[in-house]
Amino acid sequence: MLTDFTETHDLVRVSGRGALVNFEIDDHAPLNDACRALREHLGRNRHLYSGGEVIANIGARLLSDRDQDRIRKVIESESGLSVKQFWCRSEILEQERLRITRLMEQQAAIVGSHVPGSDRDELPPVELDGAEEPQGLGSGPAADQIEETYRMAVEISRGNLRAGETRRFPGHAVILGNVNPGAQVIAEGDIIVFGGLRGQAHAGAGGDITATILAMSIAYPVLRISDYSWHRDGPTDAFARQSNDGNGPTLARVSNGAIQVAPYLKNNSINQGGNPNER
Amino acid sequence: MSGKTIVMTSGKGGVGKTTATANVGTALALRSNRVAVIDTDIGLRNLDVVMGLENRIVYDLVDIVEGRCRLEQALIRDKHAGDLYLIAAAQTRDKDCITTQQLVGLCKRLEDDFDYVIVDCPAGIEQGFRNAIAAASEALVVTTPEVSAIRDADRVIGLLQAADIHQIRLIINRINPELVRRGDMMDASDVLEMLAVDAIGLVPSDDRVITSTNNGTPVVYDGQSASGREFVRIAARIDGEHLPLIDPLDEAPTSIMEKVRNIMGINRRASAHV
Repeated sequence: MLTDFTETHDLVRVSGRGALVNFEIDDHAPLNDACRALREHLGRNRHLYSGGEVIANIGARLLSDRDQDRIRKVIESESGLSVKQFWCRSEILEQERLRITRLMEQQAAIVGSHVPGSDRDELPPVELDGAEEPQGLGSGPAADQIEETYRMAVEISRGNLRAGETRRFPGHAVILGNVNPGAQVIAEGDIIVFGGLRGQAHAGAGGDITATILAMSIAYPVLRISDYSWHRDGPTDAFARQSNDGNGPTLARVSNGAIQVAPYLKNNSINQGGNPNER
Repeated sequence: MSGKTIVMTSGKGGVGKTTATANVGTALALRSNRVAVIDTDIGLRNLDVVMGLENRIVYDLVDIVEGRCRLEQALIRDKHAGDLYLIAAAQTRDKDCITTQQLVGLCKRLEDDFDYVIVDCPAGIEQGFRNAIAAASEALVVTTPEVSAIRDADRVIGLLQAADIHQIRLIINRINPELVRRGDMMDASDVLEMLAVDAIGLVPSDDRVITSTNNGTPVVYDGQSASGREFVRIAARIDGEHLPLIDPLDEAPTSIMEKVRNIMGINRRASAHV
C-alpha cells in the first residue's frame, strides 16, 4: 500500500494514509466523466498501488447498484485494489428516506380517496411542508443531477446504418436494423442491435468498461468497449454472414482484461442460470 | 410532355452502369417512349461506345452548357431505336467543368420533350456524382453480388436518401447461378437484405454482353441473351408494368440437355420471356 499522500485530479480526489485509500468523487460531475477521470488517474499511477482495500466516497450522490458496480470495476481493474465500501453523506440518505416516505403517503392518499368514476382532479391535494420538501429524485436541480447520473438515456435508431454513416449516442443505443459494413455506432453506454452487426460498434465510449454490445448476429465487425477492441480476421462483410459462427444473438463484454464475444443464449444464458450480462 | 429523370449510379466502377443505361434506355425506347440518355462521366466517356455511336459525336454535354451549340445539335439519334437519343460526355475535360445547376437545367429542358431522361453517373461520390443525382427524381442503383460493390452501393443509397431521392431501386448485375448454387457468391436475397431497397432487376452473368458491347449493339436486341431479356423486363417495370422478379437461379439451365438446347437456341423457357 502507499504512504500519506493527497492528489486531486479534477473530478476525483485520492488521499491515502497507511493501509487506507480514500477516493472522493466529484458530487456534480456526470458519472461517465467521473469514471473516465478515475480510469485516467489509476492508469497513470498504477505503480503506486500494490493491493489492499479502499473506500469510495461518492459524496452527495446516490448510486444504483449498477453504477456502484461501474466504479468498483474501474478501480479494481485499473489498480488491483478492492473496494471495501461506498460512502455517501448521511443527509443524502435521510433526504431519500424522507422522499420515499412522502411518496408512499401520497400514493396511499390517492388510492384511499379514489372512488371509481370520480374525477382524479377532485382528490384532496397532499400537503407538503415547503421546508421539508423532499430533495431526492424527481424534484429540484440537485435531484435532476442525481437522476441524470442514475441512468443514461436510451435512444432508439430505426432503420439500417449504411456504409459511411456514423451515429453517436450520449447514452445507450438501440438500433432497430442492421449496422452495415462501413457504418459505425458509438455510444456512451450499451449498444443493442436488433439486426446484424457487420460494421463497427463502440460501447462505453466514455470509459465505461461495464458496457456491453448485444446483436442478433455478429459478422466479423470491429468491436470496441471503452479502450478495448476486438476483431476477427476472416471473410469480410456481408458474405461472412453465410458462413460465420456469429449467427444468433451474440454478446460482447469486457472480462479478464479483454473483450469476450459469446453466444447470448447458449452456455451462459439466462436459461442456464447465468446471464453473462449480470456481473 | 413532362418526363422524369432517372439516375443510374453505383458508387463502385465497373459494375455495369453504362451497360445498364444503354440497355434500359434502348428497351424503354422500344416500348415507344421518347428517351434521352446522358453520359455524365466527363473525361471517361463510354456510353457512346456501348451504343455504337462514337463516330457520330460532334457536340457533347460541355458544349451545351458552355453555349457552343444548341441542345438539339448535341442530341445524337440512336441507329436502331428511333426515339432514343444520346448526349455524350466530353472526353477532354473533367467533372468540374459543369455545375449542378447547369445539369439540372438541362434535364428540366429535356423532360419537356422526353418521357425518360436517364443520367449515366460516373463512379465515385464526388462532384460528378453530385451533379448527376441533382436533377433526378428516381435512382437505379447497380451493384454486383460482391462485397466491395455492395458496400459502395450501400454508401450511395445513403447519399441518395440524404439528397431526398427516395424512389431507389436496385439492379443486381452479373449474378452467376453456378457460383450461387455452390455457395461461393451471395444470392439476390442476401444482397437485398443488406441494402434494404426494392429490386427492379436481377441480371444474370452473360458473355453475350461482352460481344454486344464490342459490337456497339445493346444486348436487349439479342433474344437469346438472358441478361438482355432481364433488361427488357426492367424497362417494363420502370414503365409501370408489374412483372415478378425472376431469380437467375430459376432461369439458368441445370441439366446438360438444357445447356445443349440453349446453345442451339431452342430453349423454350428462355424464349417465353422475350
